[in-house]
Amino acid sequence: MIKKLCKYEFRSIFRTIIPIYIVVIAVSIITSISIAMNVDYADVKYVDNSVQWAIEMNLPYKLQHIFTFVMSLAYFAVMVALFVLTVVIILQRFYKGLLCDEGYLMFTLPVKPWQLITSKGITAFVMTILSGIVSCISIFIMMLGSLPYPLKFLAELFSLQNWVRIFGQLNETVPMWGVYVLEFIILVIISSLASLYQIYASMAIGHLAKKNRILMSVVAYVAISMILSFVGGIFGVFSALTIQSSQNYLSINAGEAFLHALLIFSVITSIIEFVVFFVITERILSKKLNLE
Amino acid sequence: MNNILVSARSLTKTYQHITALNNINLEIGSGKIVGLLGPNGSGKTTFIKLLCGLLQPTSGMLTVDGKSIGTQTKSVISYLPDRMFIADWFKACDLMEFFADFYSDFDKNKAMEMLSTLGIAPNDKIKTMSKGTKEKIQLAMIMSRKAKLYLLDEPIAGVDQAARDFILNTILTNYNEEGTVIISTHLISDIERVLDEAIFLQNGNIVRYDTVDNIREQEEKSVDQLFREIFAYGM
Repeated sequence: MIKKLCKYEFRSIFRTIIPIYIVVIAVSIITSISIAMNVDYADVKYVDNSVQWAIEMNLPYKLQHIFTFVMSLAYFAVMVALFVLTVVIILQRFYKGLLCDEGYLMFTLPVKPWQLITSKGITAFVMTILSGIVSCISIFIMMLGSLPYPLKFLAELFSLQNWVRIFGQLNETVPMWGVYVLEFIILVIISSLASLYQIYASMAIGHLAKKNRILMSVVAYVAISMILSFVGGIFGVFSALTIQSSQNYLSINAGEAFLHALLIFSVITSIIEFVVFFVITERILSKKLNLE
Repeated sequence: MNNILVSARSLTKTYQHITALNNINLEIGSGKIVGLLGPNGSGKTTFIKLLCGLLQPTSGMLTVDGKSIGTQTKSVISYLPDRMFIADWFKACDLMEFFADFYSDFDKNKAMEMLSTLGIAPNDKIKTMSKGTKEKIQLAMIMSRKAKLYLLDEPIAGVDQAARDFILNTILTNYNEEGTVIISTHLISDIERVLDEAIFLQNGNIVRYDTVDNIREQEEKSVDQLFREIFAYGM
């Protein structure tokens, strides 16, 4: 059932988000090309990049420079739009898709509320990852345009030898790098899920109010964030004190151990947050649902 | 015929200070068309929402087909709310696919047939349809299911006479005859001819639940007239 729910959820999301992905990539390609045409390659060795940029800004009568300037603004605008739209879709798909009129259809389907909430979470998470990937691709395209030697850069980027060398050095200096990367990726995934479900839980709490439900959702979100940072602050003080008092026992490996502990601790707290938010949302929508 | 489809025992629903349903006891059998009659605010919509699981009862018991309200009852209930409940970016064909995906009792051919009678092509977008067409397409989806219980919340409110006839005919010609149809309304005269039974609700209480034939025989008046008498002060 979750698969079927996700199918329609993805259709709804992609309908809005795919066009902005295409626009972002198109604008970055155009901007990147116009930047590349503007770089005065002969002077690269003599002029600092930032100065180069300033000089170009002083020559707005050159059509090309104006074009680059406008495109850069456009690029900035579409990147902001991508970010805003991703957030808006997360909010809208949950609020409009479950708590407004569409809820009459969704909550009378033969599925459990937790399945509805899970499908919303999965699809929103995938969209967030896709938006992140699209932003990275667009930044990469922009970078290529501003490099004096984009082709050489690409060749080096895709050369196996380079990567073997880099990983070799990495293994030597930080033998545990793989574990760090793994811990970091897990942390990013879990903490984004926790933030996602904080939004859902806030909207569910706001739904409990008789009126001004959107306002109450915002209040709930701010309140939860304040509680989280308060608890986090207390934990921070405690751990700082603990470290200080146990400083005598610190060995050379302590720094590394501390980093692992910090990552794992963050993963655990994010898991707890995620579970608590999920349960709050599920309980409210199961027991206290009251669509207008 | 006499097997019980819907059973409510001491069913109560309160919202903060308001009692929407007060200690309701009733049993509704299969294969009937039942009118849920009462003025606005009498608890009709609350009762229907409890049946389809959009609300949880404050106390008491409610079963459909012997099961308490959950995914099993939702799969045998076909519910038409009193508002638009489909996302407007859907096309007619998406809507049919959606219903077929989630309800095993959905008859896609029947739905196609009904849509073509309405002059709706599979690729038509819901967004571009008029309000009346949107309501009709929703009704077509609901009635294309072979459900055990149809819950129709105010299906004929706010539409003209032609649309009313269309809606009532659609319901009559398409419902699963082994199933029960519950129609809530405050417009009795239009609907009286199709009803087998009538439930009169007032301020969250059942004031009368009887077959239409009994009402006519005992009271020697139509359901509509009885309704006007019962609710003369309540309205």
